[in-house]
Amino acid sequence: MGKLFDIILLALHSLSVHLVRSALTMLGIVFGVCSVTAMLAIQTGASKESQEKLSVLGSNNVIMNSIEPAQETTRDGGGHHGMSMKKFGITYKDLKCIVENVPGVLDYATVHNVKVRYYCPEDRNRLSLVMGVTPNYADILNLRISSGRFISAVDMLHMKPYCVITQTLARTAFKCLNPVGRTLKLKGQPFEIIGVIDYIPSKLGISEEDIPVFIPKTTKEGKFGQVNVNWYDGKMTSEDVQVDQLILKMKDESTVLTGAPVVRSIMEKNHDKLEYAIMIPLKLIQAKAAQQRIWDMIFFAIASISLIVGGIGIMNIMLASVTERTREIGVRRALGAKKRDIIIQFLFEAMTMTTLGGLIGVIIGYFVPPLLKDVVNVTPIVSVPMLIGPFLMAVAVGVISGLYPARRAAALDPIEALRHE
Amino acid sequence: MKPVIHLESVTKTYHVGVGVTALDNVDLVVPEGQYLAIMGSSGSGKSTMLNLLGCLDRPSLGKYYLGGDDVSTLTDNQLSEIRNTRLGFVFQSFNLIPWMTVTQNIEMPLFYKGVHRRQRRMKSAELGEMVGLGDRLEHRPPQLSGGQMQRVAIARALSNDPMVLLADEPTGNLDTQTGEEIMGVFADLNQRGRTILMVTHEPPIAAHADRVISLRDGRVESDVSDYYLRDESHG
Ligand SMILES: Nc1ncnc2c1ncn2[C@@H]1O[C@H](COP(=O)(O)OP(=O)(O)OP(=O)(O)O)[C@@H](O)[C@H]1O
Ligand SMILES: [Mg+2]
Repeated sequence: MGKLFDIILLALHSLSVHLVRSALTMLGIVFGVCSVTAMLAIQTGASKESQEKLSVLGSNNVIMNSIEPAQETTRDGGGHHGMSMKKFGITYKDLKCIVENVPGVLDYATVHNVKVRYYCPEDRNRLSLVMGVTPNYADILNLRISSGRFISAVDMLHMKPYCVITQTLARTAFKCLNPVGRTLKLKGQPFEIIGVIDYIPSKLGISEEDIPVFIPKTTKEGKFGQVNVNWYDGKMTSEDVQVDQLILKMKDESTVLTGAPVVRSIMEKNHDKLEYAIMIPLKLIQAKAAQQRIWDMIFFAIASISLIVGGIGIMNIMLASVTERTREIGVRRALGAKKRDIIIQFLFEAMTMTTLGGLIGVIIGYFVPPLLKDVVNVTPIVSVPMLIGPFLMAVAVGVISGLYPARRAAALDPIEALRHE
Repeated sequence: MKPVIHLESVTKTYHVGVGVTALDNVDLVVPEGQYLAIMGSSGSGKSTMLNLLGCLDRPSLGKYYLGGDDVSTLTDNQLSEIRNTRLGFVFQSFNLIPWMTVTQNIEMPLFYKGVHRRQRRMKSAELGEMVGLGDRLEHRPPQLSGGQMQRVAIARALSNDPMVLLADEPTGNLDTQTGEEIMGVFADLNQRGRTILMVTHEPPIAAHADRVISLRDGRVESDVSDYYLRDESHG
């Protein structure tokens, strides 16, 4: 035991004598480990972020959107001169059928859109997507309210002129993060801002570009009517969509999977044109997770290559070192070193470089990913296994890349080694 | 006197294409405390014999008894142990490890014997002192002269208190005067009872020994004890 310790000290001593060479050799492992850790951290961060964005949609939800059918024919539209009426999309009849026939529907929210110009002193006159929603909308979609509150049942009942806007709009239109209490004019009518939500989940079918503004459903109908009338190119068009978006909240994930086909068959029975889209976030989440696992493996493999390259570097240096120190090996053998002693010495030199390199790599790997936050546009997440894993890999690389040169050293014939120039 | 070394019909053949018989049926008995010089022309088998005696190699045929034990059929590990505990080596080109200090070089046999660090330091300091390098213990070999390096090597060879001190041309890389100094150290050691086997091709160096054997084509050609050769070489 004492001797083993002595040989280990000897290996350290020999490394310290060739400090520059040892440090340069170690560098390969440092970079390898640190890139494995950084890649894992960035990958995990990206993965968590996209999972979070998706889970906002709710794994228990089924989301249905009305879409304009491909041909310009209308379902039930009479046209006066110069005016065309488009009538399509999800209807209240569909909603009633679904709620009555699909098992496991706990709750639902409906959305009724209208596009109007909004006005505020700082950012006048742009087109905004006003969404009349039911109060449970924010809950069902797990929207995060960053300040103020969402529309309540009372607001709905009294058709209050209240609105909820996004952070993006708060920044661009009001140049502040908390414009609660201020007034936004929608088609000339004043609405009081009562809350701000973090962001709109991208998969919902609307984007921040649309400038969504949420108002109570009843207010929307009262102030803007159910039929949306637009002037375009001197022609008036109107759209009559009963429900623009329907969000079903199911009991659990298994009722999502059993209920979705029932919803689809009801819709197929009620509509002969494709004027609706059904989206199941759970399936998206599952697909995303599967895709994520593949990416994880690819990233890990790429990062591991740098470790392997580092290992080859170590093996190369150790082989050169064995040749260079052939005579030293001969002397040690002549004076009583066993093959095992020589193996331990050289193996330990390799392992010290990789272990130390791994340690430094892990330390850098712990501190560097957060600095990359702005470069890669995600918040990297560093966890303990992410540090221990690459470190153990580095130690293993040391064993693997050190063993061959060490065995070569031990296998040298003492007489020939002593004669070596 | 009890023999320290006993070679019994030892033959060493190398097989490189055709077989080369480097040692041919050699018998040798070396009693304890003897100072033996091995001479012979180049290629006569001196180094081969010393390597065998030093347990760096095994005879192809015959027996080798070291301190009464048959060491001709030991395993590699066992040979390492024998070298470590019973033999001391002094080489022509010193063979010190350049990046280690004088003390660390001297203590190397004890290092592989598993002797505790503190005891090793004491022993190596004592031996360094003995060969006259008490003030150079923390120096490294490249900072020493040839004679000083050979003294370090001698101290190293003695650190495990070996049965036999083996030296292959110990003065080969030194000038005559330094060589004589080293021979003085050898004589001193022999005086105190150390058995010494030395390969040399210089008669004045061999003249320091009690007994001189000459090899020729792997055979012992002559075996002369004491003063005769010395008288002749001194004229
Ligand atoms: N490893 C080997 N393989 C093949 N032949 C060898 C080997 N070592 C020695 N020999 C041969 O054995 C013979 C004796 O060699 P050895 O080295 O013992 O001579 P030496 O007396 O030490 O010579 P020198 O005075 O030149 O050192 C020589 O013919 C040599 O070529
Ligand atoms: Mg020779």
